[in-house]
Amino acid sequence: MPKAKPDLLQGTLDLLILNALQRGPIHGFGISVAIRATSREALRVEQGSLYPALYRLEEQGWIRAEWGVSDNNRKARFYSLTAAGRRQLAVEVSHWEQLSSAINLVLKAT
Amino acid sequence: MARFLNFLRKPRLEKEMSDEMRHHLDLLTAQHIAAGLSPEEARYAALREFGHVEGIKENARDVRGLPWLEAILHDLRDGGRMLRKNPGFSLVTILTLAIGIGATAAIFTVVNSVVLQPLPYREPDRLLALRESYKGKQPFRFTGAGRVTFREWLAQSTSFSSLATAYPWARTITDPGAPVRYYAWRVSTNYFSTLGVQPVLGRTFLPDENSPGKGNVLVISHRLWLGRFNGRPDIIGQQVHIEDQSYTIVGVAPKDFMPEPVVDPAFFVPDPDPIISTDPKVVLFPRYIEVVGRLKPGVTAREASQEISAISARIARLYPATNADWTAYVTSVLEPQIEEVKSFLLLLLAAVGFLLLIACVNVANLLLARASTRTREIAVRCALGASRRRIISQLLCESLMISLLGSALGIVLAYVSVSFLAGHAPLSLPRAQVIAIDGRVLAGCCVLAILTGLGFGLAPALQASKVNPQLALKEQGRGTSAGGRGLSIRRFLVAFEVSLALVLLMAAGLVVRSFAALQQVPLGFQTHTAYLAKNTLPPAHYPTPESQDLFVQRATEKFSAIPGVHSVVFASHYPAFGRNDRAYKIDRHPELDPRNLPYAACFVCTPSFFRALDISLVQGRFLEARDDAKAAPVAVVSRTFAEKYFPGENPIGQSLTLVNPDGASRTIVGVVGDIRDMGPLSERTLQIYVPFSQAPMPNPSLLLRVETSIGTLQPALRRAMDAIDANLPVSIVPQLDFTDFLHETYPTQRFALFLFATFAVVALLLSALGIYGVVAYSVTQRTQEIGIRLALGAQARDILNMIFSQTGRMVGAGMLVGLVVSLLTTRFLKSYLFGIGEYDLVAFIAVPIFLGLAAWLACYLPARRATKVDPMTALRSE
Repeated sequence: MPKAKPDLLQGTLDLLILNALQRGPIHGFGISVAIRATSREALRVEQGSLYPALYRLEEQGWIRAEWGVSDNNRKARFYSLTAAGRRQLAVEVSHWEQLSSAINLVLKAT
Repeated sequence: MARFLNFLRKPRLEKEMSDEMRHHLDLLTAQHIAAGLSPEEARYAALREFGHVEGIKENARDVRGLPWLEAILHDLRDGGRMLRKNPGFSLVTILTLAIGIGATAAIFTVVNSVVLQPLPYREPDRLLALRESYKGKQPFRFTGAGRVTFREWLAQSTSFSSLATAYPWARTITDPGAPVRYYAWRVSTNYFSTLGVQPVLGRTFLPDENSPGKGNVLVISHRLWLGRFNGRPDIIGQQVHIEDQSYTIVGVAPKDFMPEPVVDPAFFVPDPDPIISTDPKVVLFPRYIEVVGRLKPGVTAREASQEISAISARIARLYPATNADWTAYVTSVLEPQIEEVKSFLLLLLAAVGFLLLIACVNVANLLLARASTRTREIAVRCALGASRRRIISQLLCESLMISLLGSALGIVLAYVSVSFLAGHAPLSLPRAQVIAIDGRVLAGCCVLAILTGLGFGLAPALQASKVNPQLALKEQGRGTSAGGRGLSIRRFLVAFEVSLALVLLMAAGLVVRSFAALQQVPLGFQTHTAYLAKNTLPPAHYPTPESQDLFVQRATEKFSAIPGVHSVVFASHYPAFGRNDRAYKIDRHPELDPRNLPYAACFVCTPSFFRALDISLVQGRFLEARDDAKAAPVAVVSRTFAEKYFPGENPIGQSLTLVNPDGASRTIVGVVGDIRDMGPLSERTLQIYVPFSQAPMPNPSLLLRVETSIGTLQPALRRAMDAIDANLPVSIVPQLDFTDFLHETYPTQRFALFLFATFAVVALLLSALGIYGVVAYSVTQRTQEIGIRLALGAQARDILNMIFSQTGRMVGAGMLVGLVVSLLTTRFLKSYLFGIGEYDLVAFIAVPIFLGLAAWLACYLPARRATKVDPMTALRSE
C-alpha cells in the first residue's frame, strides 16, 4: 500500500503525541484522530508506530495510562501527561522550534 | 528494571494490549460506518488502515519487554521441543557429552585433590622439607635426614624460623579397650606449631614436653578419636596405656591433617630432646627423620638450600666416616608426597582429555548431521522472515541445552566415579582420602559445558544459517549442496576421532600387555587367606632372647590348636611386608671384602614359614623344629643364592655367616625356590632363612593362614592370646590384610590398566558410533543414487564395496595419523610398562586390527541397509 502522506520526520512523533495529550486524557485512537485533524489531514500516524511509541513514552515516565470508559461506553485505555512529560514536551517544542527556524533559514538563503 | 517487571507481568500486559487495539479498530470501524460504508466494508477498511495487527503488537512488545530474553526463552522452549521430538538423538548426544565431561571431571578431581590442592597448613608455600642425599657411587635422594645432620642444621642454619622433626613409631595401645597396635609418629614439640596446625580439641605439645618425665602426652588423630574413642567430647585428659607406660591425651588433630600421604599416623608423641653426643650409634642413626622447616620472612627456598648444603659439607668434614659422600637438599612439603604419582596422573589427564575430545567430535558430528537434515525447516524459517541472527541463536540455544544437560549428567557421573576411584585407588596413591569434587571442578565443568555447547554448536549453526531458502526449498529439503560439504567435514571429524581412539587404544593395549607379562612372573609363594599381625614384645616382660623364643613357641602352640587355623608362623617379616637385609660372609669365600659385605634378604622364621607360604623345596630340607637354640646353627638359602656361590657343587653342608646377630657359622641344610619378596618387579632373589629359635627378636610378626573367615576367629585368637599375655594385641590391622596387600604389589599398573582400558573401550564405542552415524547418514542421503545404481544393474556387493571404500579411506586416514601420534607418544608410558618395550609390535599390530574390525562393523550395519534399497521406491520418492 503506497503511502499517501510523507513520513513523519524522525523524532517528531513523540512531540506530536505529547502535544496531543496536553488537552487532557485521550485514548490511542483519539490521539491519531487528533493529530490528523489538527494537521488538517496533513499528518497521519501509522498505528504501527503509534502504539510502540506510546509504550515507550509510558516506560520513560512521560505519560501515564489508565483504564477508563470511552464516549461510547466502552472500556478504553486513556493516556495523560505526567509532570515529567510536561517538561519533556517543553524541551521537545523548543528543539523543534530551533530545528524548523534553522531549516527555514537554510531554505531562504538559497 | 521496569522492563523486567513488565516481563513478569507479561500475560496481563499482553491482554491489555489486545484490548486496546481491538478498541482502536472498533472506533475506526465506527468512523467508517458513519462515513457511509457497510459494517463489513467498514471493518475491512479499518483493518487495512490499521495495518498488520500482530506485527504492531510484536513491535510494541519489543519496546516494553525484554526481546532478547523472550527470544532465548522461546528458543529454549523450541529446543526442548526438538530434544523431546528426537529422543534417540538427544539421548545419544547428551550421554556422549556426559561421559566425556564426567570422566574428565573425575580425573581432574583426582589431579586437583592430589596434586593441585595445597596441604592444610598455614602458608604451606613457606614450608620446606629438608633431606639428605647420597652423592657417592650410586647417588640416591633420601627421604629423610640423620640425627647428627639435623642437630647441625638446628645449630647453624639461619634460614628457618623453626625446624621440626617426625619419625615413625609403631606401638600398641593396651588400655582402655583391647590391645591394638598402631602406626604412630614421634614428633618434635614444635612440630604442630611449625606446620601451623591447630588441634580441634585440647592443645598440641608444650616446648618442655621433650624433657624426661614430661613426655607422656599424646595428640591423637581425628580418626582414632572417632574410631577407638567414639568421638567422646571428654577425651582430653584421658589416660591411655601404651604398652607399659601411661600417657595423657592432650589434643585431637584436625580431620584433614594427614602428614603422611598413604597411612596416616594414629597418634603423636613428643620426641625426646635429640641427644647431643658423638656416640657412633647416634651418628649412625638411620637417615629417616623427616625434617620440616618454616622459612623466615624474606628468605627464599634457594637460599635455604644453599645454606643447608654448605652445612652438610662442614658435617662431612667433621664425620668423614659416615657423612663423606652426603649432601642435602630442600623440597616443598607436598612435592615428595606426590612426585611418584604426579606424572602418572598427568598422563591420565591427557588420556581423559583425548576421550573428551572424542566425545566433543562426536557431538559436533551429530549436530552437523542434524543441522543438514533440518535445512528445509531452517529455509522455511528464513522465508518467514527469521533473521540470520535469530537462526544462529536458536541453533546455539539447542546445542547449549544439550551441553548443559550433558554436563549436569556428567557431574552426576563424576560424583559416582570419584567415589569409586577414591574407594579403589591403590594404597600407593597419596592423599586419596582428600579426593573430592570442589568448586573449582564444578566451575570447570560449567565452563566446559558452555565452551563445548558454543564450540560444537557454532559451526553447524553458521553453516545452517547460510541456507538459501529458495534453493533449499526447491531441493525438497534434500539439501544436497549443503549436505555434501557437511558430509566432508563430518568425514574429517570421524577420521580425527578414529586417530584419537587409536592413540588411547594403543596406550591401553600396551598397559594390558604389560599387565599380562606381570601376571606371568612367578612370585614363588602363595598367600591365599593369610593374615598378618604385627607384634612387639615389651622389653620389660620379654627381656631375653630365651623369653622371646618361649613366647613364640607357646603362641604357636596355642594358635595352632584353634579350629580353622591352617598354619601359624612367626617371622622377622614376610614377602611384600617389610625388609630385613643382613650382611653375610660365605665361609668358603674369604676374599669378600669385610668392610663391604654383600646383603641378602634374611627371613628369621619359625619352621612353618615355608609350608604356610607354599615355598618350594629344591634340595635338602626346610627348617625344622629340631633347629632350636641348643642345636647347631643352620640356614636355608634360595636357589639363586646357591647357584651364585656354589656353582656346580652341592650347596648342602656348605656354611655361611650372618654378621648380625651372632656371627655364628651356619650350615646350609636346604635350598628353596626363589621368591620375589618385593613383588613381580623385584629382581632381588638372594635369600637366607634362619630359624627363629636360633636368632630370636622382640618384634616378630605373626602370620595366620586360615580356613574360615578371619572375623569368626578373632574371639578364639583373643582367648588364646589372653592365656599367654593379656596385654598383647592380636589385632589384624585392616590395611595389613595380606591378600589385599599382595594384590596391591603392583597397584599403579593395576590402576593404570583399569583406567586406560575403560577410556579405551569408551573411545572405541564413541568412534564406532561416529562411523555408524556418518555412514548411516550418507546412505540415507544417497538413497536415490543407490537406487539408480541398482536399477542400472549394480549388485549388492558393488554397493557395499562403494560404501566400504569411502569409509575405509576415512578410517584408514584416521588410523594412519593415530599410529604416527602413538609412535611419538607411547614413550611417555615407558615407565609404566613391564616386560615389553614402548614400541611393542604385538600392540602395534593388534590394536589397529581391533579398531579396524570395530570400524568395519560400524560401517557394515548401515551399509547393508543400503543394499536393501528397492530401486523403484527409491526413484519414486523423488
